[in-house]
Amino acid sequence: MVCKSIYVLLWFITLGNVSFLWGQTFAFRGVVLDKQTHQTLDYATVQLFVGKQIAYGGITDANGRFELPHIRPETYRVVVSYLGYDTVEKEVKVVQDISETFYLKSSATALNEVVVTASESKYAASASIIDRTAMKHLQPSSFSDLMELVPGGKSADPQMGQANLIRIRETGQTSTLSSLGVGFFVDGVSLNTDANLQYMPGSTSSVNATSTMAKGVDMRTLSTDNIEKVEIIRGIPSVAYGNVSNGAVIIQRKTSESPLSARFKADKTSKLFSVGKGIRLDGNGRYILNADVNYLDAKIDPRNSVKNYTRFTASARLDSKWLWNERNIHWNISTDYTGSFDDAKRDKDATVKEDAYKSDFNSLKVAGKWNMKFPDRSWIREINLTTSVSQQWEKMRETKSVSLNRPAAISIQKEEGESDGIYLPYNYVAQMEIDGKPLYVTAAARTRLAFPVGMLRNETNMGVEWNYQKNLGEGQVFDVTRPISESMSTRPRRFKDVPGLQPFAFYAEEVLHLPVQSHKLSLTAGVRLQSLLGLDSQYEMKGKVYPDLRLDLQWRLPAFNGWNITFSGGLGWISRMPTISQLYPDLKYVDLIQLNYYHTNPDYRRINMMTYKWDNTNYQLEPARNRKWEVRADIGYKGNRLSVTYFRERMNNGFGDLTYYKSLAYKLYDPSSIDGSTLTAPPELSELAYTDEYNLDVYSTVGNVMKMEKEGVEFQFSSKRIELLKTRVTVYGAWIKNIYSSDVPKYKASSILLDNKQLEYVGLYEGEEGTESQAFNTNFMFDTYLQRLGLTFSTSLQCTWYTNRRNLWNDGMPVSYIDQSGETYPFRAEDAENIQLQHLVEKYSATYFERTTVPFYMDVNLKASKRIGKYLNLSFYVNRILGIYPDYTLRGVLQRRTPESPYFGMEMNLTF
Amino acid sequence: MKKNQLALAVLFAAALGFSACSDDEGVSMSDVSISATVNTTIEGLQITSGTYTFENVNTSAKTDVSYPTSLIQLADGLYNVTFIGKGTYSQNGTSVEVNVQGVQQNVTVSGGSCKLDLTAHVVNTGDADFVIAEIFLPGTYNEAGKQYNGDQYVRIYNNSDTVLYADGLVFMESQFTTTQKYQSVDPDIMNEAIAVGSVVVVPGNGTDYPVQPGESFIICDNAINHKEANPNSIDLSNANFEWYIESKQDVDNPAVPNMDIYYCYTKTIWILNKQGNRAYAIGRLPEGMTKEQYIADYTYDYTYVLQSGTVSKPQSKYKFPNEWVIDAVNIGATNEWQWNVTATELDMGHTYIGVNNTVAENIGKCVMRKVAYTDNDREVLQDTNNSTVDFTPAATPSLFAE
Repeated sequence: MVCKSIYVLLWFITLGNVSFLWGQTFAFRGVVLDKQTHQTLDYATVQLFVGKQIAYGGITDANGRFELPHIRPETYRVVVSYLGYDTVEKEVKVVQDISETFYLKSSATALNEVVVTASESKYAASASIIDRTAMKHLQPSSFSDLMELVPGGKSADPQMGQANLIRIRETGQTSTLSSLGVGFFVDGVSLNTDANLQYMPGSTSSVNATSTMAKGVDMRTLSTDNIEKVEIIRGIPSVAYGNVSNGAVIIQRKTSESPLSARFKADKTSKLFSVGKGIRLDGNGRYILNADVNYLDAKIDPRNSVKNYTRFTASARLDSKWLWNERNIHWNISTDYTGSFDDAKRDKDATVKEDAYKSDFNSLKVAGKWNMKFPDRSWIREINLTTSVSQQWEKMRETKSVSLNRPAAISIQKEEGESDGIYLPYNYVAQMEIDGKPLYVTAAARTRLAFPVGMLRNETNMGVEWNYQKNLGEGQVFDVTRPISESMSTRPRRFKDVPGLQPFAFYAEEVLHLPVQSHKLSLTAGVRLQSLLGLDSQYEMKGKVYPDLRLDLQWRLPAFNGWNITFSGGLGWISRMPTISQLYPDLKYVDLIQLNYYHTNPDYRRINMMTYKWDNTNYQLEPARNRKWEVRADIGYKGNRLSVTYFRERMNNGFGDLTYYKSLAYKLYDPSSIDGSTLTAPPELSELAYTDEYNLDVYSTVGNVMKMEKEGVEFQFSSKRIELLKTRVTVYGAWIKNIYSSDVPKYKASSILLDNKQLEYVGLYEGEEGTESQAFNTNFMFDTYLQRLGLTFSTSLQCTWYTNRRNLWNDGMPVSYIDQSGETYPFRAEDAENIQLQHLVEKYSATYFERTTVPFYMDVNLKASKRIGKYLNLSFYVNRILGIYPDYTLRGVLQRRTPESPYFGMEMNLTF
Repeated sequence: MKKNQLALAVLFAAALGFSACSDDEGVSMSDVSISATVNTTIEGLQITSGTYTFENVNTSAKTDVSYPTSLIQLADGLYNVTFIGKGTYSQNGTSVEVNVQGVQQNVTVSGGSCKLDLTAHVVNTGDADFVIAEIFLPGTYNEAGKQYNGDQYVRIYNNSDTVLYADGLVFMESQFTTTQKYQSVDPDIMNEAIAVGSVVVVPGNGTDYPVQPGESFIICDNAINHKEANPNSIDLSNANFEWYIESKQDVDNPAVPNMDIYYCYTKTIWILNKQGNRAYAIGRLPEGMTKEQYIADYTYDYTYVLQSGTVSKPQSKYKFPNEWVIDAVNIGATNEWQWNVTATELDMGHTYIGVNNTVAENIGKCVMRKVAYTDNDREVLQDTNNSTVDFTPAATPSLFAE
């Protein structure tokens, strides 16, 4: 059945029976096995009860064995529980040293249960848990496909030509912080992306669609085949998961022994192959090596063979467990390679053959985890140490044949000052390379402590985490005299020279369990302190510690008549540190034309520019902080389960564009005194009259300017499998409202030319600008499992009841304006009539703020998988086999919609 | 070169029954039969009505004959014959009426016979003034086989018989495109003014830039020798005016005067719409209207609703009143054209560079106004405010023809 989190163990902590008896004691030993397979079960909980009171407790070791020494003679009720298995109870009379074997029945087989959807977490924070079975049935190509199973999600065709960014509790317009704010944790190690500086300035090709700079994880790069279980935390993650402002994705990969399995998948645009095995290296299963490789080749458009995406991943994970002095030691080392390659060329038949781009990502990661669990009588329960080193090699390369439409000059001046520009050749091949080599080092330590405090069961988690992130790449490499775009003003930058960052965190979390009669109250209160080390003293964040407080309360009602009801709620602040690209943006260059003298004779031409260069860093940047709260109800009745979450989130300092203005002085030479016919060389600047001019413009950098508000209801109902039809019904969906806005004063410069000049003023606007988006959707999933035939068949009706959006009201009036000398004046009503100033008023019409609603539409998806013989399993899926898109009227106009053509795929799984 | 010409062959046949002369009057009258054939470059033009006026050169006696006429009685002598009439042609199922006229001098009527060879042409609407003679938008292929569009130009022609001054002549590009019709525009000003994205004006104090009758001048973005960049292109260094925006992506040829940019939607470079899906117009500010007053008072703020129902962001551009417009032409690929973006009074029709608006089809082609007739070597261009018939689509630009 539903996979319980590992933390279930934390609930079964003994109250610490300290009453010491003088009498004789015996040892109670045993082994816990899977009833079907007779495999040993490690980490199973064994508890000895006297009445309702726990007297003794322990955990099985890697070999499924447990030993409880010093047991007083008594008749005990032994309760053996294990995640995913039915709990076993047995009366045992201890009068001597005894040994017992317990057979546990898997909950899934017990209920004849196959869960092909996500299940809601049973803990306080809202989370979707997706296990192997669900993933198998979904037939994903990458992690992106799993998002269909999260409330609010629906199936989407793979978009392999661009970075796939995660969206949790999002609809409509979104921001890059949405995905940057989601942390991915693979086997307890964060997938750090903060030293990513890959983007190509000045490029007009779609190479930048592959950029994830300051956008978080590209889900395309994550294959799903070695994943055992995923937990997508939509609500408030534990303080153990930091540096997030939206949610967390916790990926747990396979570590157990498993047969050799291979998968071949083909769909409309891609082919996937994967093979993996969990090998037992020694007789008693102490060492298990999991190894797998995965290869994906996707054509972005099947009709176009020159654009494709390839992914190759390989992973080896060695897991070992042993018992040492009653302590369970668990040690895991892993090494992973991920290669992700975007490749696009121009059509072979096109006249321009040079145009091409590549975006390569290679990552090699070594991680080690060492965990020790202590016996339950110890106040220290667990120590966990994690380290990882990850080196990535990223390369974007674009080749572009540039043909100018008119002569264009560029400045190659690297420092501030006046210089003559050079005219670019009319035809040239430009090459630009972005070479990034992010290095990430992580070291973390965590401990779990337990002390009894009177009636309370109490547990404390504490941890520290240190990261080092640095980009060692050569950076933007290109010939400044052959820019990829003639309007580009970027100069090359070496990433090596960009300082590294060291995020540091400490956290402590207190978990209290308070039984009130037969009710169960659990309170989790945690604090996480985050700081960014290694910053220059100019930064506001330097030396500052940012605390995040997170609280969860869960109230489990006593079970009655088959009803299980739990209420929970949480409140928490979660913060995301800025990335290297945000803290160390590229230098800003502006080249202003002082003389543009294009004589018919090339020898007499002269273009003179004034170059300005400045640091575009916003030293005031602080972590983006989201305040979340949610209340949940979880109602179970005889295998049926409904869970509903209402949430609100608010962030006032999200990352967005912070504007500022600059008035830059330059000389405008008057060429009218030059007699072109008598020139023998380019005109001398010293002989020309000039006027002092100012270029007033608005620039932007990253600031804490974005406001985000989220509100919504997420729900999931899953029925028990209806025996007669062998069918289970799952209904899940969400109503989500997002508002992304900014009311931070904003400078805007007009883009027009008036009377041969740019506007002499820039405006300052204080109105709120933003959009509100809403969506309400529900997926109805019917899955039928015919065990005898080995057939699973599902139909999913994915209904979007409506989506809508509206622009937030804004009067468009500037509050003040700034002239070229930097002087600020209030904007008065009569200024709206001024020749120049009238262009600073943004005139909105009422319809602009009207809500635009798209009504109901529905897609029907089919999936089936069938076991054939001993080794083979065949699956296929068709998304949108049927689409219902009724016509509707928008502002008096009939809108006809047609569903996209179906998307289909099939796969073969071989298990030996 | 094609001509709009209406050739009327009028045959005077001597009628019988004049053999018995009326003895002493000395002037013989003949029955003259007239038949007319129409030959025109406006496809399908039919003369529907009109009047021939035969004016006797000696007596100044006038005889009006209405069209169509087959037989009239005329005295022998020397005549000047004029024809003024109307013709129609069909455009998209609707009938369009135009005025036609023609003249032939010194026609001899003698003994009941004469030889009349009268060429009629379509009459231009309004007073003769500047007209847009040619618009070259798509540019050329360069050596690398890529599009090069720095060589766009517009030729403006003095279609009158007097010297006109280019000073203060306004050239503009419409803001709306002919290939995307809006469901609605609020406010809709199309019947009063053209919504414009750029307004550039020929400099001068009023008499600095005379243009002789039948002469034209060229305005362009870059008045340079484009052959330097692209051998397939043209030399525009002798163009009359260029527009220059102070930016490193533009160049300024000091030898060619810059146009006065009253307003332009962009502050980097202004390229004419190279797909050819906007309208272009020329006009003059009325007496007393200054640049300052124009840019202060003639902004146009609007929003539009797309066919999909989506509402646009607020737009702020300029407008140019229809009364100030001298000539306008709507351009739009035949397969994509959806509407005209100027009032019908300015242009009833539209012309095109290519039918399908592909680069391969458009490249190196222009739209060119047809010659209506030639008046003593001076070509008079056809201007009936209907660019469908007034322009030759997909023509070879004149500067390439040289």
